[in-house]
Amino acid sequence: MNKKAPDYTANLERDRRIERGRVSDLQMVFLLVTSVLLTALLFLPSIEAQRAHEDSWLTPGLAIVPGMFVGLVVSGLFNVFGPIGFIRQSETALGAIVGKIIGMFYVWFFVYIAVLVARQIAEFMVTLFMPQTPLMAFLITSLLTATYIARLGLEPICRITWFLPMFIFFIYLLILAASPEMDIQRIRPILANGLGPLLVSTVPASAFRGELILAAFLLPYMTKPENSGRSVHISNIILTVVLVSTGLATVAVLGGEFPGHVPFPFFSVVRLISIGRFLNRLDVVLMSLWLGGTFIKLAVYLYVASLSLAQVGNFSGYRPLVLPMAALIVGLSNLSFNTGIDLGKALAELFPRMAMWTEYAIPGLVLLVGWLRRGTIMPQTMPQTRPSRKTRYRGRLKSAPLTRRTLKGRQRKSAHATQGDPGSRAGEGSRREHRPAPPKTRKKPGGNPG
Amino acid sequence: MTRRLRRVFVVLCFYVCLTIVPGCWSRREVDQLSFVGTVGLDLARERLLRNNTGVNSSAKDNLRRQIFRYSAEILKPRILGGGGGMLGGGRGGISEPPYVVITVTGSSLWEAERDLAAVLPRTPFFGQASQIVIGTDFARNGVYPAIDYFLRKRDFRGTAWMSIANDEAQKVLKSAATLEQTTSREMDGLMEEVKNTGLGYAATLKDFTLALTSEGRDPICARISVVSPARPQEAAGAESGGPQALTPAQAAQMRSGAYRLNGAAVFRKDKLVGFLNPIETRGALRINSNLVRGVMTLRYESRSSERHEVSVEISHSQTRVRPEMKDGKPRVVVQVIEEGVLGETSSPYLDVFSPKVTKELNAEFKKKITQEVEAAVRKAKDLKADVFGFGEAIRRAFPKEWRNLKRNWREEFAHIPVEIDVTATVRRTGHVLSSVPVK
Repeated sequence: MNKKAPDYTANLERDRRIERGRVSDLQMVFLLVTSVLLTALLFLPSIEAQRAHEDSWLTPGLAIVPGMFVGLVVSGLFNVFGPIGFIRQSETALGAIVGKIIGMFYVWFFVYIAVLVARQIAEFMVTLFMPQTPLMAFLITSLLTATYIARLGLEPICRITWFLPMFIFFIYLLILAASPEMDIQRIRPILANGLGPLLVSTVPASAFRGELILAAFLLPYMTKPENSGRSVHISNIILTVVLVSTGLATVAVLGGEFPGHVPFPFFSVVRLISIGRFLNRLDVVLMSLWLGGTFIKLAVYLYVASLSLAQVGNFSGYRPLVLPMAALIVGLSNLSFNTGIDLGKALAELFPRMAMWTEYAIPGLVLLVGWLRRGTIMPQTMPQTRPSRKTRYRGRLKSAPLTRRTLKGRQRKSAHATQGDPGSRAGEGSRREHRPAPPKTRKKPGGNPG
Repeated sequence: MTRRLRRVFVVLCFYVCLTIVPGCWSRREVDQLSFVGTVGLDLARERLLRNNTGVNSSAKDNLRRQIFRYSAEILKPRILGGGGGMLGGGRGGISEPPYVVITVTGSSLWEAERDLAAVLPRTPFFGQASQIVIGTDFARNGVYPAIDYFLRKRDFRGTAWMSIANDEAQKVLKSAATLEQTTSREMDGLMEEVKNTGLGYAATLKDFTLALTSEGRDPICARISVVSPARPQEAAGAESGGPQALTPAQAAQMRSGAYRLNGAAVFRKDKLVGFLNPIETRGALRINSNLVRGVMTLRYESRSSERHEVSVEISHSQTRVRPEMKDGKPRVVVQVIEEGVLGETSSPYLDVFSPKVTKELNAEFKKKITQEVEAAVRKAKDLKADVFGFGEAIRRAFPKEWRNLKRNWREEFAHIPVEIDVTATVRRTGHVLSSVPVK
C-alpha cells in the first residue's frame, strides 16, 4: 500500500514532465468542442437521416445523455484517482499489465480516430472540390501540418482552438442565410415511426459525442483538474445546441428523405444559399471553416496518440513519436478504406462499436474498479491536485518546440529566477504538503523543504 | 546571427514554395473553361432506329437502350464581357450572339456531356448553369437519369431552374433571346417575371428533387412552349446527327424562334403525365402557397344590367392545406385567403362606394379563384399526380392512417374529396376611386 504512493507521485511527475503545457477550463471546453463539432457536423447527419428521417435533428439532442455520462465518468475518475491521466488511472486500478494493455488499446484507438479524420478530410476534398487530386496529396499535407502542430505541444493546440467562437458564429450565419429555403413543416410528423429508429441512429451520434472522454487523458495538464467534469458538461451542451440547430436547418431545407442520400447534407444546404442573386457559393466558407477545424482535430488526436504511447512506454518525451505516428496514420488511412463508401460504413458501423468500449465501457469499468478498491490502491494522502508552479510550463507563448538548446536556455533561466527570489519559494513550499521531487536535471532551489 | 540567418532562410523557403506549390491537380483556370448556361436534354429517337440494324442484337435490347441528345448553351465570355461596353460601336447593329449551342448524343448523359470535348476546345464548367430544359419525350420516359446526373455533378447547383419544353429542348436553346444576350439569362428573367402573372410554375432542381423524394407529393415544374420554331429545313439541318455547332449566322437565322414560359408540367413519380394550362397553373400555385401576383378579369353586372369587365390584381395570397379524417376516409380542406387591387374597369359606371358593388365584386373574385383552384385539382386528379402534396399533409397530420393510405395513394388521391374555402377581398382601387365619368 505504501509502496504504491511514490509510484503515483512519480508517474504524475513523469507525465507532467512529458508535457509542460497547462490548460485552463475554458481552453479545455474549446479543445473538446472543436475536436468533436466539425466532423460531427458534416458526417453525422447523413448517417442519422438514413434511419431517423424527419427526426434526425433530434438525434444530437438525445446524444446529450451519453455525453453527460462521459462527463460524470471524467469527474468520477478525478475524484477517485486524482489528477493522473486515464492510462495511469487504469494502471492503478487494474494493475500494471492490464493497465498497459488498456493503454496500448487507447493508443490504437486514437490512431484510428486520426486515421478516420485524415481520411475524412481527404474524402471531403476529393468528393467535392478536387476530384483529380490523389488522396495521398491530402493525406500527406494534412498530416504534415498536424505533425507540426502536435509537436508544438498542448498549449499551442489549445490556442488555435480560440477560432471556435468564429466557427460557431459562421455556422449560425450560414443557417440564417439558408432560412429562405426553409419550411419548418418538413420536420413533421415528429416520431412517426416511434423511438426505435431514433435510438438506433443515436448510436453513431453518441460515438462521436463520447470523444469527449479525451478530457480524462488531459487531466494532469489542466490547471484545475477538479473542473474537468464541468468542462465536459459545458462542451456537451454547446455541441448539443449547435448540432440540433444544424440538424433542424438540414431537415427544414431538405426534408427527411433526401439528407440520407447525400454524403454531406449540411453542405448541400449551404450550396443552396443564394441571397439576392449575387451572394451565393457560400459552400467555400463552410469548407474553409471545416478544414480548419478538422486539422485541429487531427492534430489533437495525433498528439494524444503520441502522448499516450509515451505514457504507456514510460518515455521521457512524446515529440520523437509524432512523426512516425503521422507516417503510420498516412499509411493506414490510405489502406484501411478502398472507397468513400467504406469510410461511411466505418463511421456508421465500425467506429461506434469500438467507441462503445473505449468511450463508455472501459472508462466506466476503470472507474468502478477504482472506486471499489480505492482504499488499497491509492496513496494515503493524496498529492496536490494542481500542478506545482515548478512543473508548470513557463515558456513564452511564442516559444519554439523543445529542442535541446531551448531546454537548456530555459533551465538556466528558471534556475536564475528561483535563486533570485528564495523567499516566495519557501512560502509556497510550506503551503503545500506534497511537494513532488523535482526533476533530476534541475538544480535544487535554495529554500525547498521537499 | 546564424539563427537569424536560418530564420530568414526558412521564411524565404516558404515564399519560394508559396509561388510554386499553390494550385493542385484539380485546378481549373478560367481561360481553359467553357461556361455552360443552359442544358437541354432530349431523347434521340433516330439513333435508336439506327441501332436496330446492328449485328446480333435483338430489337428488344435496342429499344430499351436510350440515346440521349445533350444540348449545351456555351457562353462566349469575350463577347459577353467586351460587348457590354462597346455595344453599338464596333459591331454595328447585327452582332454575333455571345453564345453557341452545341448538340451531342450519347447513351448516357455523362457520356454525352464528355462528347462535347469533340467540339469544344475547353472543359465545360457548370457552376454558372442556371437552366435545365428537358424535352417532352425525355420527360415522358422518366426524368430520373437527368435528376441523378445533375445531383451527382460536383459543380451543378440545386438552385438551377427546371423546365419542360412542350417540344424538343434543343429548339428552346436554339431560339434567340428577346432582350438578354443569352438564353440562360433570358430564362432566368422569365422565371422571375412569371411571378407577376402566376401563369407559369417556376421550380428549381431542388424543389423538383424534394417533391420526387417526398412521400405523398409529385413533382411539378415550368413548361416552356416553343412559340414559333425555326423554319423546318434549318431545324432539320441542325439536327442531322453527330456533334454539330450552330454557327453565328445560323443562329441569327433562327432568331425568329421564340419561347414562352406558361403553364406547368405535371409528373407522376419521375414521368411526365401532362401539362396544366396557365389558369390551372395559377390554381396549383395557389394551393402550394407559391402565388405572388397575378391579374384576374372579373365579369361584373351593374344595376343597369350592363356588363363590365373588371381586372383585379392579386396582391396577397395565402393558403393552408388542412387534411381531415372522417371514419378513416381522408378529406382535404384548401383554405385560401386572397386580397386584390382593382386595376382596370371597362366602363365608367362602377361605383366602388356602394356596399353592394363591393360585395358583388368580392363574390365574383371568390368565384373566380374557386374555379381556378377547382380546375387545378380536377386536372391533377385526372392525371393521378399529387402535385399539391395532399398526401404529404396527411402524412404529417395523421401518420398512423397514412401507413394504410400510402400503398395506393395515387388512386386515393384521384377520389379524395377536396373542399375549397376561399376568402377574397378587393382591398384597394388604385389611383382612382369610383371610375372617372364620361360626360
